[in-house]
Amino acid sequence: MEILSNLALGFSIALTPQVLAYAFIGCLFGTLVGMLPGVGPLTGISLLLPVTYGLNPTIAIVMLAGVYYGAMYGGSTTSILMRIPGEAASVMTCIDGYAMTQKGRAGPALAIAAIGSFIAGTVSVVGLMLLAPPIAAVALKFGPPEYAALLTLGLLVLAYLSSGSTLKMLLMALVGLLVGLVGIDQMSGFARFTWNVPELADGVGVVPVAVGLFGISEIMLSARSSGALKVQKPRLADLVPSREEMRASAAPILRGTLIGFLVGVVPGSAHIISSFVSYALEKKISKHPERFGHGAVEGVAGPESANNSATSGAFIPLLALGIPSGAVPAVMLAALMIHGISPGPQLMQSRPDIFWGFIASMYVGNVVLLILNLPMVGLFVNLLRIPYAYLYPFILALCLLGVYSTNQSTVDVWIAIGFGVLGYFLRKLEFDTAPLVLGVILAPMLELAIRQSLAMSGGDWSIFAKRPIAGTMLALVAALLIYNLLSRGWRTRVGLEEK
Amino acid sequence: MPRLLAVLLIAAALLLMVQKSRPARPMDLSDARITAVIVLLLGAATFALERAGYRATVFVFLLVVLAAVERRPPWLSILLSGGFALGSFHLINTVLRVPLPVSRWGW
Amino acid sequence: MRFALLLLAIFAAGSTAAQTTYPSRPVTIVVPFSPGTGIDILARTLGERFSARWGVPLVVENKPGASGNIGAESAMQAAADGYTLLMTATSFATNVALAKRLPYDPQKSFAPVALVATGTLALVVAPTSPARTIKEFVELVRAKPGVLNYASTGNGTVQHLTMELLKQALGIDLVHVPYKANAGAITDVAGGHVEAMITPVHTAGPLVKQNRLRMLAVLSAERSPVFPSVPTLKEEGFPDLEVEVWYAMLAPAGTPQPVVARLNSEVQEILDSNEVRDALAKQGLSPVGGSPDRLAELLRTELARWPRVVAKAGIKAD
Repeated sequence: MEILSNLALGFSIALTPQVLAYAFIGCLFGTLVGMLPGVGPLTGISLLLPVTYGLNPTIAIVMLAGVYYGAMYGGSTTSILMRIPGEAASVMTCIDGYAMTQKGRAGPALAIAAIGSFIAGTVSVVGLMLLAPPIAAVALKFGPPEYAALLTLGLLVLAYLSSGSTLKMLLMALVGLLVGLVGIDQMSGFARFTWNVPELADGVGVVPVAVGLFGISEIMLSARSSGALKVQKPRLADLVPSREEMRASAAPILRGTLIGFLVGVVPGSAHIISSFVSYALEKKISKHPERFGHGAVEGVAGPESANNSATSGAFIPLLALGIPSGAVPAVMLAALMIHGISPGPQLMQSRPDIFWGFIASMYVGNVVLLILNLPMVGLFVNLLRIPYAYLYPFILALCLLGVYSTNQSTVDVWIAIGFGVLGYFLRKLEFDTAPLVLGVILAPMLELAIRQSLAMSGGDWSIFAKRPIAGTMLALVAALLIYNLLSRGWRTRVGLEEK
Repeated sequence: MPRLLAVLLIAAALLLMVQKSRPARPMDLSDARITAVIVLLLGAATFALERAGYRATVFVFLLVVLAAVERRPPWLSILLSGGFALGSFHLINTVLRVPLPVSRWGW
Repeated sequence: MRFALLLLAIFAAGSTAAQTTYPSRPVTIVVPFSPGTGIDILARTLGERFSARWGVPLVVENKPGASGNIGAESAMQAAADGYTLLMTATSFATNVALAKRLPYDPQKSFAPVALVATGTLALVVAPTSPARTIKEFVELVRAKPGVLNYASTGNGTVQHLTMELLKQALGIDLVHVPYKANAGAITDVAGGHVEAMITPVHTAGPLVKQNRLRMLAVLSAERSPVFPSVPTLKEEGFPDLEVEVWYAMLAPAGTPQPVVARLNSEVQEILDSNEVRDALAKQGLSPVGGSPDRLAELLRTELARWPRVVAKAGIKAD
């Protein structure tokens, strides 16, 4: 088969010691960067970009791809160990991942995250390889109305995220949506809720919100018990996932991979919500949904896999069409162009060595990360043995550092602290904070998409129904909503009665 | 659009308050004191960050939390705080070349 | 006589001393946009070269927000000793036209150092559009005023304002559909959801080559070397509409003249190197250089031009 021989070509390029060495450096760097709360792959890639100028294209791309994947892995590590999201996409991992850590299962959580990411990464690269052109063509059909419909589906996902009353969830989501709307309105140029603080002009930013709401609030809640928190002495059994954990993770990993891939393909930043969608799906189809939030391994396996495969999915428009689908692929595009490579369908013909070398390097990156991360699981779990009283001040300092470094802005840090305080009270009142974060992510995108669609149609709302893809998705959303309202009886759903 | 959301928010909050007329557990605020202290310290650190520079701020912050709040041995606190402040600065600012605030006096 | 010579010697020694002691510690260049954007990559490219030549690192500090105002404000407040610089782009001039108040004065708060590079803009249309030349496009739009759409990277961006300029000059009416980033905008034009947009040549390049976009005209004085078959607006008989995206380096006002001169000559030498020209060309940028006065002149013209466009089009921003 032609593909196999192409792959062989790619691997022969990717597996040379020099390339491997750079891949390793990239992955290591990416992991370090990813572990800093808030600093994500974008910063990492931009930092290494000038260093790659003198290198040959394959090596440069391999290294930068390594940074990207490494950052995603690094982000999960802090999410699981400290409940601090490394970047927006890791938020869902914080919930069950940290719960597992608290039960002494940090090692298995990290391991499953690594394995799930590896499988997802590998499978999605296969998908990328085989399906890139046709999928890219479909992705082009996604205009603002389709985007709006997809995001509405994302909103529906919120309904499945909550473990408590729907009303509380709704409240959280609304707060999140409002927070997400802060900033200069894209269409009219008017500033909303910014109170003359220039840094708010571009919006509140998911990173400070997520880090504050999850990480800082967690520390505030746990600080008092610093003496009493159990110091865990890991036995080997505690580092390796148990048989049932592995078995329970298998299907979520596969499902997460699929979801992430599909969501990642859509041009734009929708791929962030892939982990949210995966979490909601796992919870919905699980036989014991009440376990979620308390250390259900599916809640780690699914979202982590979704994250990684969304990463590969996000590259499809870039490789197949030459269009970057988000900020990170855009930098990769710049990197490619600086090295004289123009991605697009002709790339496969004109420079097969680059194209297949890139694909092969994505495999290699995944493997390198797995090898890098699994042994480190033991190291990380040992870190947890340090009494919390010593640990949390440094974690707080890390949060300060990470949030500040993203935009060199103290305003971001204030936001994080503010949301930390908010999170503290919300947790006390037994509110689930995840919908808030999702709201902050979705609001600006959804509103923009809706208003763009209206601009395109000249104010005609029926544009959503008239376009086939958008119409179908919205019909699906409506159907799911109705199904839900009818199935369990809407009174219990709204929380007016006890279940 | 925000007005629409604001209306929904208020409606939801009211509904919730109506529903919550069932007795709920009183909020457990026993750790409020330490939380307040942490928040104050974080706030002070944020305020000082760009004025006093990263290293000084982080050093003092960690020192206060370790020594005053958690009452760990002073020599250890100084060592750990200094190590972290200097080490992280070196790693991030010098090696990774992500600028961190440096005060007017170069620290 | 000897006294005069002595004075001269001291003076010469003094000024060379001033020259050799700069830079003696790391220099920061503020980039008022997020990492990975075109301007950021340009700054980092320059930074690498500076660091290699001076032996002292040049560090990029990203301070995004408010279309570049936050970074600009921060750079303005820094000490004018040559250790803090600002990298800026066309939005520097357009912001003035849009904002009611700026925290800085674009003419007085900064000293021009060098005009670094320029990029060419092009008018592209969706592949499904019936217009094949710029003339057909204008006729098409004139026949259906207010019906067809165009995309841009946001309200108040160069792409938006340039299209408004085009609309005013050509007497056509298109509806504005803003996007958050270039990627989304250009994808939607390629997908036929929006009719047209103004975009940098190199961004549209790959898509035009795949026939997913049609480039109708370039907005520069001469044809683009990458697309020699695409006419300029000037050639097609339309009023001379030249708009370029430009990138420049500024320093806080009051930075000593020798320092500015030194920086300027360094930039010039870096831009002359083949490696950098190559890297820039690949991003669709042409290196420029030139004296600080050249930059000052450009700033003057740009600062005069955009407020007129904004006022006529009735665009507002807070």
